[in-house]
Amino acid sequence: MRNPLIILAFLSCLIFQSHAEVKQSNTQLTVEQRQLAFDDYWLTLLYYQKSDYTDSYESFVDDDRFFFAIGGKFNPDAELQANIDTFIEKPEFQCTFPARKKWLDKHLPSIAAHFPQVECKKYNEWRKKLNTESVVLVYAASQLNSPSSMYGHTFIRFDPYDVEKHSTYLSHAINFGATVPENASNFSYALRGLAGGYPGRFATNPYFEKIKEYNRAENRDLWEYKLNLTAEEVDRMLTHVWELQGINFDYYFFDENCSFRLLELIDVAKPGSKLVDQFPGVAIPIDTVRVVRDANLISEVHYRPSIRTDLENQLDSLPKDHRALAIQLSKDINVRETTEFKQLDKAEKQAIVHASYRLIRFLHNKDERSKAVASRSFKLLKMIRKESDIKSVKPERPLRPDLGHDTTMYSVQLGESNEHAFADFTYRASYHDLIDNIPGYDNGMSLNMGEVVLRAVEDSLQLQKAEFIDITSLSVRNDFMTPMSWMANVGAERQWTEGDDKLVARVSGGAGVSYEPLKFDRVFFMLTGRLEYNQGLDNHFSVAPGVTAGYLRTWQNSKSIITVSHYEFIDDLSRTVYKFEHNWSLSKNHSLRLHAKRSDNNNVDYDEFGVSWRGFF
Amino acid sequence: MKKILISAVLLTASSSAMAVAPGGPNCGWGNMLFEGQTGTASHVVASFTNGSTFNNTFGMTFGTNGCSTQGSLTYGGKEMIDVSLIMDEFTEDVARGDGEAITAVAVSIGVEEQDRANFKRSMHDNFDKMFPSEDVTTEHVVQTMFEVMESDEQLAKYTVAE
Repeated sequence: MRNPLIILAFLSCLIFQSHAEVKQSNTQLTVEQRQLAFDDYWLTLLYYQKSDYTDSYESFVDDDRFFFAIGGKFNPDAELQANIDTFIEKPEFQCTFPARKKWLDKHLPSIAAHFPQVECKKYNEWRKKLNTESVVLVYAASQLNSPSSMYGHTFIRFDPYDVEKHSTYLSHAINFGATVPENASNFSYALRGLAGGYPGRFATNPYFEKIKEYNRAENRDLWEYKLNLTAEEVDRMLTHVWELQGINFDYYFFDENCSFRLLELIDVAKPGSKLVDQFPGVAIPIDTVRVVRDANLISEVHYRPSIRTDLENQLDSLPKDHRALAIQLSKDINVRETTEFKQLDKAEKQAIVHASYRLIRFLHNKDERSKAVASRSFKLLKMIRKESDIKSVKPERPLRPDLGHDTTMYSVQLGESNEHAFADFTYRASYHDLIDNIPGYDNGMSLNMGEVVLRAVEDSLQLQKAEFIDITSLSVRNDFMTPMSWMANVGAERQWTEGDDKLVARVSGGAGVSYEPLKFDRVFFMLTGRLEYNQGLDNHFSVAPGVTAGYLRTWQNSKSIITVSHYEFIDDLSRTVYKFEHNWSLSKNHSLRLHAKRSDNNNVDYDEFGVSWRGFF
Repeated sequence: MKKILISAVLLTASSSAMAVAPGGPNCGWGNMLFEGQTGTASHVVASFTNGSTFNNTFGMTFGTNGCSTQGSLTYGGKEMIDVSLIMDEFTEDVARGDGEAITAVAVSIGVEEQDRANFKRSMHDNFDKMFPSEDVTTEHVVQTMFEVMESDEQLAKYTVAE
């Protein structure tokens, strides 16, 4: 990448100037200067990671356009030299990488003095348009019915000066996500998206598009954590964000995901913060929020409820018969002509009409457009306009998700099973089950990955259970919504078969319905299916249809669940399990749990009791 | 760093990009309001990868999905928010006389803070003019909005191209 012009300049120096001055006009770095390439900030700017075992470096960026040196992805100092050469040879690249330019100006002023002056029109326009004064980390909370969004999502928002007096609709969001090609419309693409075959890229959008996407389309609450960055730090972040335009990273769901990349941006803004170093393995979005919080980077938190949260709150705030009226009105505009509606006072009418309008909007958000619905909602809109001064009731702010229990769990349990005492040691990589401490989490959602239970019984230690994934989603049906509840489970567990407890592998799933008979309680019923690999059975692979029903109760500081599940195997074998579990929350990260279980198998019926102590970290 | 592979469960169909609504004369308020969304499967993929916009826009242009009328809605050479993209929220805000969307529109056309209450009231008072039927187009809404402003002593100054 050496520039012939530079060499020429260098030669001319040799001829026309004294030897002493040669070095100064040279842009070839000295050995000392080359050491700057291992400066923390240069490494951060180019996403270099040092290997734990060898002395080698590798950048996270998987895109040749990000490097100028051949093999620059693995070579910070060659890359430093190549950047300098390029900034001189092709000055327009100073505009592509303004953060590097700025850093070079500061740390190698004698070299940077050789950079030709350029005007970075596009970049300056972009900065002007963003007009950023503050930066907000936004957490899109998990959503019950979509398994993939259960872990939540984070992105960053850039706010202009004095945004409180204006509208965050006009702020801009920067999001890191996988780029799915437009013609990608088959299963293999879906698979690649999860397993990490797509390039990940940063994209910026107006914030109102994000609001529409999360608050409206996906029914997810947004939590806006304002960062207390200084003007200089904000400037550093933006300067660098521009460099990421169109640059590909590999996208991986677990580690190199949306949240991880954002921490890198904060590290760029705040040299030395090293937030990225806190995630050697998995970066769960809410944990990254915690890391930012613990680094004292959050100055205020704003809650933006989803359209559904808003709507449910609005309908709940109506008296029961008014709620029914609002729902009827959204289906039939003639309800407004009934005496029941007409006799209400103005304020009551306002509340009903507004809720009704919001309801029709919510219900038809995902539908094909229909003339009838448009016409009906327009009539409601005109009624709203007549009854001006409508204030919607804001939902109460729930506990901040970052203040909920931590995501990794370990527990110790003592108990008795089939008249043998046992001790269980459990590790669960993530994240939350139906009766874990609820504050900060979505009620009725259970998402567990990577759980291992070791059981000490008599003189032996055995693998009792290994859960790869275990999801339960109890979405409540009510007078205006009819979502499905479902469960899915892949793993291995001990199962009494032929008088022996064998480790069996199984995949199970189910779908059904849940209702909320009392506030925060759930009663549910599901049809299930189970595929089991069990060497103790005649058919090693066995299939069993089944049913599961249960009741989940929420108390002041605890939760209980009673479930009954029954499976009827094709091998003329049946199993029924009755289970009661209760979880007392001791503190944010500790709980005490009790369980009692009766298993009726064809030839072995047994009982089990246990008390466990659970800790989260 | 370890790359943990996970398999795709529950995924079946397409991951086609966001539905693009037809623009033009039929793109009325009723249509815009209930813009079709993507199917469940693509929704799932989108959330797994968090690839929300498939056309990976980096520039600061406003999106072109929905019934965008981008290009026709600048005035005085100044770019304003594309009202069609927030039509749903804007309409309700005009009907109620307040809200984030109507504030965003006011800010984007440069209405100063002290005049915003007046702006909102004027829009609210002229709701029937701006939204004569459910077939109203964004062009009509925006044009009427400027007409209303022009006839208002305080707001007229914001409609003059600088």
